[in-house]
Amino acid sequence: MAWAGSAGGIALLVRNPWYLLLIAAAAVMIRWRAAGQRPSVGMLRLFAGMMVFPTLLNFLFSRAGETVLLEFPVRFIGGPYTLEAMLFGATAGLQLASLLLVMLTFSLLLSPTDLLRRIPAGLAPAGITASIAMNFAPQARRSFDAVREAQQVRGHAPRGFRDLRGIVTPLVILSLESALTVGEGLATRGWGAAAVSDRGRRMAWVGVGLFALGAIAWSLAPSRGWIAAALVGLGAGLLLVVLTRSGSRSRYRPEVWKRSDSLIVGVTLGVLGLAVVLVALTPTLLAYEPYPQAVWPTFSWPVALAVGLLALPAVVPGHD
Amino acid sequence: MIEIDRLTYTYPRADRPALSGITLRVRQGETVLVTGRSGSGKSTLLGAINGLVPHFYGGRFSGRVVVGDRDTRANRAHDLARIVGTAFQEPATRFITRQVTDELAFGLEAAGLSGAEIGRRVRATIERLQLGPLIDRPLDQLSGGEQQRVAVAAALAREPRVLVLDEPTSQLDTQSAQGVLDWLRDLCHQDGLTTLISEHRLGRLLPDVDRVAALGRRGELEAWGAPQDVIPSLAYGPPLVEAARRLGLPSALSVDTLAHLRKRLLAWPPHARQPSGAETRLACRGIGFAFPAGFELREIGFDVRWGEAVAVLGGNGSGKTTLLRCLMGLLTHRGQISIDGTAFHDRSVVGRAQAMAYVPQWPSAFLFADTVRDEVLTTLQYHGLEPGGMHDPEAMLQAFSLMPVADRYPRDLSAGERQRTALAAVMIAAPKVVLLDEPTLGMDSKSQAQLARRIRTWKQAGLSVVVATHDVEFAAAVAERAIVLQDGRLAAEGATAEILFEQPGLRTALQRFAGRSWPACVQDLTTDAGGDDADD
Repeated sequence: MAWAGSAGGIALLVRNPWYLLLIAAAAVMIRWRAAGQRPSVGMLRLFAGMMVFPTLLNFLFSRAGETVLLEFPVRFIGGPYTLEAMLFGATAGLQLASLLLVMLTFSLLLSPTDLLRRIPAGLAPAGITASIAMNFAPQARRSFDAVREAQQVRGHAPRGFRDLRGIVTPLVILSLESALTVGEGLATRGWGAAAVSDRGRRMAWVGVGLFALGAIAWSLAPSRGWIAAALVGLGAGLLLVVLTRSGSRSRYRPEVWKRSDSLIVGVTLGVLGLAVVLVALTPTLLAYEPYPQAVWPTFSWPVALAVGLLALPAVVPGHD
Repeated sequence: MIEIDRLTYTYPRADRPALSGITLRVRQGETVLVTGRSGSGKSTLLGAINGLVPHFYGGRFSGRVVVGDRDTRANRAHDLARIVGTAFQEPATRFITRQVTDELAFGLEAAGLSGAEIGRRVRATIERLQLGPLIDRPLDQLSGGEQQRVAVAAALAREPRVLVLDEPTSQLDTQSAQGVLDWLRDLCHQDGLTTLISEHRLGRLLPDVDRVAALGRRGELEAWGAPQDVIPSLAYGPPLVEAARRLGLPSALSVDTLAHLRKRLLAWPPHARQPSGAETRLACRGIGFAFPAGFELREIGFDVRWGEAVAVLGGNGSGKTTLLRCLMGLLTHRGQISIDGTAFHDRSVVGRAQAMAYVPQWPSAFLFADTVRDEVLTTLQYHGLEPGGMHDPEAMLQAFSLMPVADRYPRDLSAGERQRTALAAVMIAAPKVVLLDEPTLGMDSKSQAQLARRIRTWKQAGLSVVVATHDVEFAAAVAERAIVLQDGRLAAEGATAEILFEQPGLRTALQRFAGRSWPACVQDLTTDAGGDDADD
């Protein structure tokens, strides 16, 4: 979870294609080493598809940029079509694809049950939602196959966008039915019972209030940021206490925290912290801005090495 | 232990209550059978006891349900889980973990017990319920019966005082179902559990239940009391009661009546059923398919004549569904298939759909149009057929008693109505061969009888039917011949009544009672093929 949070967070903060590629490569390595899933043509196709679509979209609809590749003497649709627009779209696609790879790796290594067990008792409803969300993709795939088969059996070979409506509606309904089924099962097994006591709920409200006060103080008097920070910190602390101490869940087979776990959590959160600091202090270091004229993205060896540390779970043995 | 007082409940956006004015009281240690037609509110009533109704679904709830000392209005399902254990049909869709012991421990973890206490209870549950051979096996590799046992064990691990079972054997073959029911009976007697069980297979359960709650079509409590008082009043009772009715005997089965019934059955003249035609319609040779995981359907060959129904029998995981999916082309199989002498094995699914109709186990995924009428029209459109003549949608809706629901959303219908919609949606293309996979799943006795009548009508019109089922009563009612699959191989083939009788685990209620192969089912006691087709 620490790795996914860090890698996903960095993928959201960074727009530099070199570092995004490094994050994607780290995710692929971890899938391969930790889950035995070799890089496949299907994955490559998915990755390429996620890059091509925004690239085309931006190329066709953005008119910004100085390097004109195409221009037609037709009003509105004639262009100019610029290299910068294409690069901007490609970077956005790369960011999405990297984030998707991180999430796919996360869902491969952590089952919905593991996720449920790791979410604080006070967040039981969020745990159920996350569990259902993680089940959604495989369930949607099964539902898609079932609907497609049903159409074939009734004499129709679905193809193209025209048939999407016939697939999407039952797909959504089947997936919702499946989510309800999971929810029923969790509720009747006692999941979420007495998640937060009345006292805990009162404490949580105080925490939310302090949090809100901090935000207001920041907006009214930004020069006295320490007051706002103290209020926000106090509020967050109270919420954390409520969420972690409430409920009375236990573990049948508690996991053993190993040194490698500490190493991975420490390193990945450290990389995330570094990325946050860099974004705050030198935003251009992690960004890539192809407008107004295309340039090569900057590359810094220290930053690349730091981002490369996200591949640690692929090489450190024995972690969970 | 359970007190239900004037319970009326309406689901959100429903126009009528699912339960209406239910009042009943269940004493500690009693076993109660909840019965009724599809859509009569059996699952809803069980949901009112475990707290899913109304907290999980919403809707309008009036009256009072008290379980132990807890009012369900003030206690949600996850709170009631301390005293109510629940096992549903289709347990595989509700498993939360991937492995047997983890699944047993899950509810205990949610209850916040210590690791040592969880371990003790998991071990005790495994030992007491004899689940030893299943420990540490992945749940998705268990058979249907094993999965059901794990689901019940997971419900019992929290040591509840009430056990709620919603059709726990609906997906199991006869032997697995009997095994689970016997096991449950022993558990209830040993532990003094209060048990409510909803089940269509009345005959197997009745000797072990203390009371029966029969729900009417509008969710009202139609009858409530001891089995011997309630069962004779049911419109569709278990096979022996139905047989007594057909023969003009009292439906309250006294010792005298049973003796008389046995005498009449033993004197019933044998009669081999014949198909309406003699020529082979569907010919299958060497049908085989291997799954990557290891199971293999091995070189199955059989013929189906014009106007004949063949039942495909066998335990869970024997290959029945795989065979039907091969026939329809949904799996790339080995072997040859021909219909009326024309090769079909080289055709795609769409190509085979010109002459074959296939309805899968759960027709839910089969229905994707906005209304029942649109489902039928969609098939015509897919096949490029014009409405009219033998492809008349209105006549088809009429034939399947779907006119009252023709403009309703198909997935909102009851199990029986959905099944009929799926059938109408494939039959509108006027196929020559009909493939039905477990068509009676979730169907009440009356809907099953209506489906059996419908199949007989198709056969008289020359259609050939292949029905894969673990419901031996239904197989005996519709099929002239049967094939039995075992571990993907063809284990037996012959006249249905003989095949069922030869395998003790497959015998029908009448066969077990009379100790002979004929009559095998209630339908063998009459020549009447008509009757009311109105459903649900």
